[in-house]
Amino acid sequence: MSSVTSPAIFLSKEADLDPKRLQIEYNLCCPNQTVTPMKLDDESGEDLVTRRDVVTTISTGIMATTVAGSGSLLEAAGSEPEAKHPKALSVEECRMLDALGDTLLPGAAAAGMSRYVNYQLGRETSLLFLNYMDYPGSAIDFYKQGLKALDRQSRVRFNRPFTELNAHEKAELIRNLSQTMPADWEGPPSTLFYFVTRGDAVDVYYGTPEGFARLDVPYMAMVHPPANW
Amino acid sequence: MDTVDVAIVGSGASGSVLAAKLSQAGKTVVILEGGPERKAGDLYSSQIWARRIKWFGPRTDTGGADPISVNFGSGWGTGGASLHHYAVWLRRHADDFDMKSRFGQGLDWPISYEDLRPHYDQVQKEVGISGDASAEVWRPEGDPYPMPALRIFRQAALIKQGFSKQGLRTSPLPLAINSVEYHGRPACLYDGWCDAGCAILALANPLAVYLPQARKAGAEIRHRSYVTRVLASERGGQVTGVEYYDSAGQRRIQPARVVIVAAYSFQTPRILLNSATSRQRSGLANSSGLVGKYMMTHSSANIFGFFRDETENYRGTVGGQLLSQEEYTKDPRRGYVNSTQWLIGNALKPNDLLGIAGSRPDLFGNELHRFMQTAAKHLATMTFVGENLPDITNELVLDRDKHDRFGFPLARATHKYSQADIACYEAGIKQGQAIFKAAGAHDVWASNRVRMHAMGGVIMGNDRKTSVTNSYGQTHDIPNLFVAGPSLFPTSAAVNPCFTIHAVTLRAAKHLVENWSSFS
Repeated sequence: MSSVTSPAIFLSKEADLDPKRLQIEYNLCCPNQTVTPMKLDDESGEDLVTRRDVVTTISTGIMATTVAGSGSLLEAAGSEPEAKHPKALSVEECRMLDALGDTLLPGAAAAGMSRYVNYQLGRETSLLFLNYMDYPGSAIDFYKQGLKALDRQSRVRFNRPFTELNAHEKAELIRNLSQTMPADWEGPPSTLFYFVTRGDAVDVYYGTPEGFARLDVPYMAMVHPPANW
Repeated sequence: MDTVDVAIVGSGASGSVLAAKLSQAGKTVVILEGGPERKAGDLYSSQIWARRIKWFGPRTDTGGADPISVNFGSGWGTGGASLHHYAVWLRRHADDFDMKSRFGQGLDWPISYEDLRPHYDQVQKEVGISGDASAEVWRPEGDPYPMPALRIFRQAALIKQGFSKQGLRTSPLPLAINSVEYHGRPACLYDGWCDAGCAILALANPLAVYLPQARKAGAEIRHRSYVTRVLASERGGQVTGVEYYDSAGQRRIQPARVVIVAAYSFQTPRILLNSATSRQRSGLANSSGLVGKYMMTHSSANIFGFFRDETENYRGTVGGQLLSQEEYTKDPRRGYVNSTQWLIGNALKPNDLLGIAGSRPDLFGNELHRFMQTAAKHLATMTFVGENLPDITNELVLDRDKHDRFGFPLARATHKYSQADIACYEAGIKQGQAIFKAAGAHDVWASNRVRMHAMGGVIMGNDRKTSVTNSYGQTHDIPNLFVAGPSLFPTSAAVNPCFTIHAVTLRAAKHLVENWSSFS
């Protein structure tokens, strides 16, 4: 089994999975879930809003409580009213991001793919998976240029925008650009764009208490987050 | 602003130890922390929210053939990177300190294991480590752990069978996580949220032990205080304090008798390089020209496999449950001198860089859903850690074309593995897959190679021409300027760095207190 250095290059072997275990619940779980982003303090130190320190003391009594299921030991800091944050992506870009999300992980759009990314891009310090990539450019440009490049690939290959492709065509396109960057790709490396947006889809679908429940994995929070993101 | 005895840049592993010990010795101490204040209740159990406590400071561009990872391993706010560390606290072995003398490769440390041993012993007593010293047959001499080992879950028990069948020994993994209540802190809940920061403080991050001690003894932690330069006297023989920008963006000067830069392996050399003066044009304490040199990391990878039994991979700690150091002793007959170790049975979450989905980045669509359903129940993993050899061409420099918002150049790091590093890594993942197959895993694969931890950049040594500081972190050029943290490490070894950071820092703190009049 090969092992390689870039997130852009992946393993070649596929696990021998039992198809009987297929228990896709994405179309059953929270299809109409709405997520209200909170206003949060700016972690970067600019334009600060002070977080209310609801929990500052942890007592031995609290510590002795057993963590189980989705219960949490501590209460999270209280949420702030929703803020008007800048919309980094256009409606069309959000539509395309949702289509991409559902290709990468069916159900991601309903779980909030574009709302999540758009909201995080509007924050000074986003919680996006992209942060871990040490990407040198702007996060907003990463998504805008990546989506634009993806749409261009779709038009070159299928003469239609990405959102109008059928599921098979979308998957074929994604598979190709996930493995090798097309010669005429203009944007962040296609392999990185795939890796990051796939990470976003997994975040919104499986990285929340609802997502853990989809896998029948106990969440076991010590401090429940004030919102999914 | 009043002059303090000690200004410490950074509130992480080393900064917190120094602040505690120096303030307890009666020194006035100010910690300047670039990020926001963090409290235990802020440490939300979420891999998405966990990203808040990773790096959000000025960007370091990272490049070269094998770029070092910056953001994932760094920290932003109280506790720095160690707020989200996994508490795998292992001692370096004796031959980690003198590999140049023994094998003609790498570099020597200016101290031996025997010099550091009493400090390891003291730190583990103060902090608390859970483990079984007698089962760690590879462990150098030292006091037994103050707490029994943490629990072992199904995942590690299954993998252990593979080690046994290959004739390889394992032991409980020593962790700075409480297996029982210790010094008023609770026992671990085995919920696997270590990466998000342990909110109950069972894991010994700086919020748990040394920062409370420092505050109690009078140390001040000044958050959102972004240090840009260490200030030197006109003739350059002394430092006089630090320049920083507060949360309002106002420039401030904190005068200090002693300055300690403990800002992790990227910002520590950057601050020294940015502190150049007309007399020290290449940066403070840089007469050797070695500030920013010898940047290091560990080569790491995960072995993954499916077992027919359920693995309970959501239980335990992210660092792992068992340890094997059967190939830790440096042996050039293997074709490389690098040490290696296995951290066995890491707790998994569904998402994030080290999560279940990340184990098969090639999968998407319904195939990924199928994988997730199976993996959540049956996946097991262990982590390979390989030593990387120091290389002077692996460096951090200032990028004169890119600046932070206050006009100071950003850093650029370049890194590549040596042939020995690569050979060691390849042998490791081959061995790891064989172990998993022997354990009965029916699908086995290795992850991408991961760059784990950051070390070096301001290395210590005995010779001022070949190192920046002495063994206490005191710079050779300026007696009242110190450096602390993994930046000092001349070699990476194959053990996780945090225990050694604490031990080296404790030794330095004692030296500062005992010889205070000669520095200030």
